[in-house]
Amino acid sequence: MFVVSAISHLGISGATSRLPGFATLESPAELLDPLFARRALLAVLLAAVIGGALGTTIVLRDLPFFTHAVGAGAYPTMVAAAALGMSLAIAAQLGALVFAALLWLLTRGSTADARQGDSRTGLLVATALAAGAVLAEVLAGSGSGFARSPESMLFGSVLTVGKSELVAAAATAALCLPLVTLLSGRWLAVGFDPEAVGAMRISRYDGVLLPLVAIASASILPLTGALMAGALMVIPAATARMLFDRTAMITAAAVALAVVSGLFGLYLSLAFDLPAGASIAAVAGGLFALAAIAVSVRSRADRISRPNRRDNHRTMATASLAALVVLPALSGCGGSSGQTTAATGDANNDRVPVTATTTHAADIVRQIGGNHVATTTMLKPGADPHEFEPKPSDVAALADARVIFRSGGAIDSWLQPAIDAAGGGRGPIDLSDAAVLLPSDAAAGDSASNGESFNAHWFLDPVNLEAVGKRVRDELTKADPATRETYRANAARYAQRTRAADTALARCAKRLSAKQRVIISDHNEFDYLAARYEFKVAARLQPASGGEPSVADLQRAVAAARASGAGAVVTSAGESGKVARAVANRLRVPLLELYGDSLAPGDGGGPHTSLDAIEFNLDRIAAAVSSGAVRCKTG
Amino acid sequence: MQDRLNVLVTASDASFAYPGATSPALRDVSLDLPGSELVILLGPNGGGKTTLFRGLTGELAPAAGTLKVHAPVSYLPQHDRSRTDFPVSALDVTLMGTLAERPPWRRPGRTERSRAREALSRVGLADRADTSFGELSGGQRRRVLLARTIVQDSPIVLLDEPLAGVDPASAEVIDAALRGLRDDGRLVIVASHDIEQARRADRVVCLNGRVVAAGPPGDALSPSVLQETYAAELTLLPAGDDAVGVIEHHHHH
Repeated sequence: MFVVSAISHLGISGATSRLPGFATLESPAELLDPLFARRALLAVLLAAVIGGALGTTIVLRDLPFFTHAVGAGAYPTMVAAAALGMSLAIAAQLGALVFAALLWLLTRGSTADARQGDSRTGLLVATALAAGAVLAEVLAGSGSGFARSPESMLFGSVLTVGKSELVAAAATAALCLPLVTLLSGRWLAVGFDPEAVGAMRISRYDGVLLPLVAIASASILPLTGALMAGALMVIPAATARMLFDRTAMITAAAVALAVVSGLFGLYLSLAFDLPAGASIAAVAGGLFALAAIAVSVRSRADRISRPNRRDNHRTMATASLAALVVLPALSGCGGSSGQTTAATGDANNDRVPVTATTTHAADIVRQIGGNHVATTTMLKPGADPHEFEPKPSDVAALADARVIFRSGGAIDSWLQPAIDAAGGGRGPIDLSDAAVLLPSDAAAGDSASNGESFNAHWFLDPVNLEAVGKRVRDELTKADPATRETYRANAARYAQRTRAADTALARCAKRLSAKQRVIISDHNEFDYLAARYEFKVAARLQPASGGEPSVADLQRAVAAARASGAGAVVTSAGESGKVARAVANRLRVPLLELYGDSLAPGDGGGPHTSLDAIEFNLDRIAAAVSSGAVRCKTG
Repeated sequence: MQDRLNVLVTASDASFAYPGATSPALRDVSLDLPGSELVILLGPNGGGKTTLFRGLTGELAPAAGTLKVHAPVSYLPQHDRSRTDFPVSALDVTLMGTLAERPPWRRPGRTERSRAREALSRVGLADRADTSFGELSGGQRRRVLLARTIVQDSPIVLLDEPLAGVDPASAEVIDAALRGLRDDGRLVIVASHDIEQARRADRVVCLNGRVVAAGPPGDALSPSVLQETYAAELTLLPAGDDAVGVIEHHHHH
């Protein structure tokens, strides 16, 4: 019944019921776009079938570590593919296959089981990560932008699954099921008694098993994110193994548990607006915990009286599995009653629905749109823009939006899949088009040459804020011509304010001597600020590619910083900034946590508008390099 | 069933060496072993019993001479690392013995199941077929693994120390099962330290880096042969045997 209710909530049966707890929609139909719902559901089911079917072998052959390591193992080929502009999905599969083949070569012929291959897997992971990092650094010179870590390269979400990824997963499932059916008996016999493989005169078929697990892992990862891949490939089988003592039952239960975890997790994600991968992993983990409790209660009962152990065992196993399926169902049913707080007709209805990717983009839209627009911001303040997983409400907001504003560049390159998931109708307005851009590596030249290699932090320059404000005015006017005059007036006022602030800040910066206007920057967030107010960035600690700095890089940076007499090291609030802290300590200058990618969270202190962020940043820098003599706070 | 005179293993002046070793681990092996025999390989640790098994399974080719094995071999290793935490029943484990003869797309059918049950009853575990492997005692587990070997139906069966560490009741059952296999016409070759067990065999092959003696126990188990076989190995002999004195007091070197 839970499954039925979840499916109806997903709109498969054309349900018109409201999603419980879902407050941001006027009608669920907006969220339950058939394309979006069908794809998410299909992705979950495919991942669950692949994971459940292969999971028993993975758990019994002690391959969870290998399963998890495949993502890291595919890193070098993905870096190469990103640099060459090839498909990441294909590169992930190829890399996974190479990784599996290498492990197979390393473990082949030994009587050891794959579990003793863990150290070899670890060796390969370290090698692959190192190779990928070196490759990324070498290829960074070619100027193509790609993500910084294997995790973010493989990051996916069930809510933004593309057609090609579904096709790949379906193909994997089609490959997986017959091979598991044919060979799992042999794989288990090998795992049961690896030394007797020769004695039983059977082939190990590890040359099939390892690539199959690798392909399955590589096709589930981009589909669902790393969290859910583990949740569906390992946890259900591990849970089932606790409950049953025959492989056929374990496999059947693993598939059932994976499907239940996937569907119920998806349901929770939609109902309570949680990230899908995390919800599914949480449900799978919760079922595991329940099963563990059930098993421990059983064994305690066994110890007290054990008249008929096997019957007892089976009854308990069946009972606990039934409970695991029924409990979520009950909570699902309970949840759907009495929570009909979806958006009722309030002032929001008259506003133009707009979605912005970042806090800065959202701020500019609010400055121009005022209370005529209802702005949804996708990235929460302080969130890492490189590992963003859209929630159902984000996809819904995109589907709903009359205008979608993106900041542009590396900060929100994840947007397109989410727009596709939302129906793909409306293209985003790239605000960086209206700004004067710097290259991502400012030392190389003055203005951005081409493509994606520009520095995406244009919003820390007031001149850009004014220009982008005008662009927002034009777009909002197109979407809502009736309010044209208000948008024009707001844009004019915003231009005035940015110009006034710019003048004041420039005057303040001038009070610092040229010698004082030297800083060291952790990353390239503050290049625009430095360029505008004639600060010299003596050294940048992190490479523009986002990789780790080499020892030579750091030595060069520290030497340059020392020679320049820089008065402060600047980094973004919320970043770990370990390197920045170490360098600041070494040079005995203050480490300043400023606002780069993101504005401050709404409830705390710190700047809440882009203009305030510029002022806050410059004020902190001026105070630090002048030992408090110069402050740049206006008003 | 195999003809009694049908020779299944022929070795002439075979010697076996491990890669990188300077001297052979086992040399001068000349044997003709027919079906319907229970052969005990007797010798100390490092005497060459396991080396000869490796030769018989094809894992190790003779460095010199010839070794011909005329029929399929199945093998029960001594130190099985079978996992007691695996979700398999005694019957499941026994059925693993039929994997090699079945193509992957064939599930174990009624024939395989009844053969597996038959093999389990030969080791006295017919009533434990559905018991989890992990719930059985050590001796019972060894018997299940023997059933897995039996069900392979190979004319040649090799067993490495099948009685080591096994409770007396299980040892008796295993001993009887081996005789049953012999009576079926199979060639059963058992590596052992146990002179008492050797006395009950059809043929004994004494190994100490070479074949010291081979033949019926009455001929082969002479005090001088035992002395030569167990030259450096004193502690592993059973007490209360007349051979003990011979071996305990004379060192070969």
